[in-house]
Amino acid sequence: MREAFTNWRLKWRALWKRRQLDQDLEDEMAFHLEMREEKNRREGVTDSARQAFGNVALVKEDLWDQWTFRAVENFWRDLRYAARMLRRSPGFTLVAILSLAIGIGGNTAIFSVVDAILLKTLPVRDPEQLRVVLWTGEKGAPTDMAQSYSTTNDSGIRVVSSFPHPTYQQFVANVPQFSDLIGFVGYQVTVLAGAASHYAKEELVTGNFFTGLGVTALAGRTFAPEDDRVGAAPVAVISYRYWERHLGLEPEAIGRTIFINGRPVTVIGVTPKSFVSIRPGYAPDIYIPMALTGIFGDKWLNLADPDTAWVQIVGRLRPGVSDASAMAGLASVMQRAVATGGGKRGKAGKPWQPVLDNGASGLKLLRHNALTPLLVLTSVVGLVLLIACANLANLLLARSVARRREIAVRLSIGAGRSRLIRQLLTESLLLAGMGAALGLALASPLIAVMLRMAGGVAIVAARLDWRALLFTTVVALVTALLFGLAPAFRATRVDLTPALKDGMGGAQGPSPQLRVSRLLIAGQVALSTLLLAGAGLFVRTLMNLSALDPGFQAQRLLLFSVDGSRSGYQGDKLLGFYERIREKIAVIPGVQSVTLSDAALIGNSYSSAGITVPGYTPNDGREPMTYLMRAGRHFLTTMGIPVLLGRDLDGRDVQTAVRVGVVNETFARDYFANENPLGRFFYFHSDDGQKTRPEDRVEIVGVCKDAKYDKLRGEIPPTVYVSYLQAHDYDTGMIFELRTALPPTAIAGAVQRVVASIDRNVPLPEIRTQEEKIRQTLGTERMFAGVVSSFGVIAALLAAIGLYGVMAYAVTRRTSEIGIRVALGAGRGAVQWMVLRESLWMVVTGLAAGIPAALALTRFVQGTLYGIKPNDPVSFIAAGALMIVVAAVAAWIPARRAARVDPMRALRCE
Amino acid sequence: MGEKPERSESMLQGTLDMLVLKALTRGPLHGYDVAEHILAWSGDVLRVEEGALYPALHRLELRGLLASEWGVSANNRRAKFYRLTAAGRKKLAQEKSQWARLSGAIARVMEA
Repeated sequence: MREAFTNWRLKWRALWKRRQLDQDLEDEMAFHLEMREEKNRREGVTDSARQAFGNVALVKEDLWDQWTFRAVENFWRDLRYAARMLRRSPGFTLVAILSLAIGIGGNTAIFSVVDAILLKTLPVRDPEQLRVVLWTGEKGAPTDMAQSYSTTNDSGIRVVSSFPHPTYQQFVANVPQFSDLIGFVGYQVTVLAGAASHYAKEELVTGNFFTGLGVTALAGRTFAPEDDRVGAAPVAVISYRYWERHLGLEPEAIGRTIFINGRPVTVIGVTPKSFVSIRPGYAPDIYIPMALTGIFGDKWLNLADPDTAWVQIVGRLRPGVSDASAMAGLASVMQRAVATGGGKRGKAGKPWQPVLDNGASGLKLLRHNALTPLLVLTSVVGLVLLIACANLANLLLARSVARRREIAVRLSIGAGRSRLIRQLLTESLLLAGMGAALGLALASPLIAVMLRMAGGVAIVAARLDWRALLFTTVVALVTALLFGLAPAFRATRVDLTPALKDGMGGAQGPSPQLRVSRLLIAGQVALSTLLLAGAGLFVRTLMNLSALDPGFQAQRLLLFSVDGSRSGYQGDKLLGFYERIREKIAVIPGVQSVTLSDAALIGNSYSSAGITVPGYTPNDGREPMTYLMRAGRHFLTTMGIPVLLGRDLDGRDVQTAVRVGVVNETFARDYFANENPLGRFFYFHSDDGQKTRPEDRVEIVGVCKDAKYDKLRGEIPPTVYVSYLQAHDYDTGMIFELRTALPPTAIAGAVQRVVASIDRNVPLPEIRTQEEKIRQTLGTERMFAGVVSSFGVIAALLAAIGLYGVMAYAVTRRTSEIGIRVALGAGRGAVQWMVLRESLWMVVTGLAAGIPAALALTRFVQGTLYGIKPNDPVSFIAAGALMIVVAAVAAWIPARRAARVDPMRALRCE
Repeated sequence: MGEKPERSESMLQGTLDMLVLKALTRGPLHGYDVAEHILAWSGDVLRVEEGALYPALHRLELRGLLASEWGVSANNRRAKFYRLTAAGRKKLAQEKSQWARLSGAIARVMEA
């Protein structure tokens, strides 16, 4: 250790005195020789001292190496040499760096997203001890809970991710395998903090949420157990982001009173910036103790209800406790709940089993949805980088041929082959390094573009951090080896004599370099075809979905949402509040008609219900169901859904009137076959399982055309549009729909003035167009189409550059042969065709490999396609044709040059 | 001393290091004298080749076992003088006892 230090110190000192070191070594040797010669003279020995010494230069070099950082200095020298070589061919360098930057930048960007969603662990204490507690019932999909969150877990089974609150309490009391069981549920609220009110994401959490996770407050404190008691003074912990955005990072925010849904609550602390959420993709603004759900939650978030599953649970296993033991503990509680618990579950006695998922990275609700897109994107950027590597390897091979003479000279004057390989690899490393640096700069905007294209889904806080940096470095190194190693080995395997005699090498036949190049080109074509075919599929999917007739008029339709229930309105008051807004909006100049509904069309959310239709017996034994939309008057006419029979909802359909509904064609066809449904009726099933209560009876007053409801894809289900005034259970926010020719910006002010004039405490709504809303739901499709086709085009361009390079080189190499052919009477066309044919051969080989590969791989994205099959001939033919055209253009230039060869000149050259 | 040894003894690097350290126990020497001392003390048997001597000297210096200084030689020339450092002295003592053990053991084997 000390010796190493001395060594380093002495070398470091010598580093700054190179001239002195050289002089010293020289002097020391000279002195020695003189002393020796003197002695020889004295003793009459005739041997030359110098001969006895051996090779003085060699000894000096040995000493010099001892005193210098040899490896580092060699590397530095190689680097400067490499930079000089690259500067000498700017075209090559530019193509190399740009293609690497795109390849590496793309990979870095995707890695950041993958990392954020799939890999990173939560910033909490010992994340590996965390388990997500879920359950599954018979047939995998339990449906006997009044409300629940369900998802598909990593093993692909349908699981429910929430429990009734009483079950949660039994877990806490009776499952000692967990040191902490943490419960939480997300909920949207209206907050008044400071001047204006706004909507915010609330997380109702159990009192041990922060202590159990091991998250300490950045400022103030987190919850104590006594905060989570019914009747406790209302307190809230806010997120760093919320603190920053709404409270200006003021320290005085701690202790301040804010209003949530109109009720006062005291802010007691702020979470650290690093802790965003335990669910990637969901970032709560405000945390409230779960016991206060009666004040700050929804009515279905009921602490005592054993039939409504709403508490999501993450547990911390005690050290040394196995998953199996924890499962056993949970299972016994769950069995007891079935046996003894009240409510429907107890009566039905349906079994349920616990499921444990690894919770180190938080809940995986988002992951399952994100998996396919991420897989597709990862493959795409991986392919692009591979293509860039193949292209570079090719260009380097061509260069190494051009540099044969230089390399042969260096080899012949004694440079070691390994030294030369290291030199060439340094060049690759320099290219990869510069590519990576530029790629890193590209990655950030690329992430932003992808997230924006993916739409409001705003997946995660994906950003470039040291992990991404590390990833990029490794990718750059691997890339450098991938494209640099083979050319370096080939370049240094030179037969010296012919190489020194002429730069091109003697033989006329295709050299091994050319054979490898052709293979690489074919490979590039294959991969590019794969990407282009994929791009075709995604673009056509997007086109199909965009051209789809949703069954309503999406143009000139503006939307905004208002939620009065979070500003203290309930029951009749809430309905009156919405009616007042509707009436005032209707008289805004330029508004042709206005209506409202509990869900926006193509908004990814829907309600459905079980129904009983008198006179209808299901032939498959399944109970009839329908989608339902609780809507205001003139909903169908405003949305542009044609009413075929009877009437639209109108002013008659108030609370006191007979409950009516308008059904769509599918509903009429499914449940009334060919009979006229007007005047007929059906019953909604009630929450407590009654199937024909008189107050749940709905009379059918109209039939409308089928229109898409929650999403563009898929079949249109049976749907009934009912008056929201007559829906007893309706008590949350509404979407208002306006038919108008005015642009959203022109009407926003008027709408906000209307809402503010009715209640200042309701957050001001934001106006969006229906078309925007639809576009947003196509985020993934748009991102796929955009990303895959841009990368596909880049790949095809790279293949074209590679093809051009190889053909240009081949033509130069064969100038004399072409000259002879022309001299012997070959026409220009024939020569041109000869070159084109050779290029075409590579392309056809590439296509022959690429198209079957694409056919095999596109099956995996079947689920994301719409209106086409994964082997869509249009996409494949277009990809092949595009590839051939691009290749033909690339080969055209060298082919023309070949045709212009002047035989006299070409032969004289030889 | 005109007689030369029949063949130069080949020396292990570690042994050479030890001899160099030993040669410097009497005070600072330049490289040439280190070789001369070893030659003389070995009764003209151990002729250290320059190609081995100087790399060894510099290696020992870089390890901190020797220190060097430029001075003036007996015949008024600029010469590099090496001297033992404390670390070098310690190292020599170690090598010496190891060597004694090893050579004693070999001697006993040969006499058995």
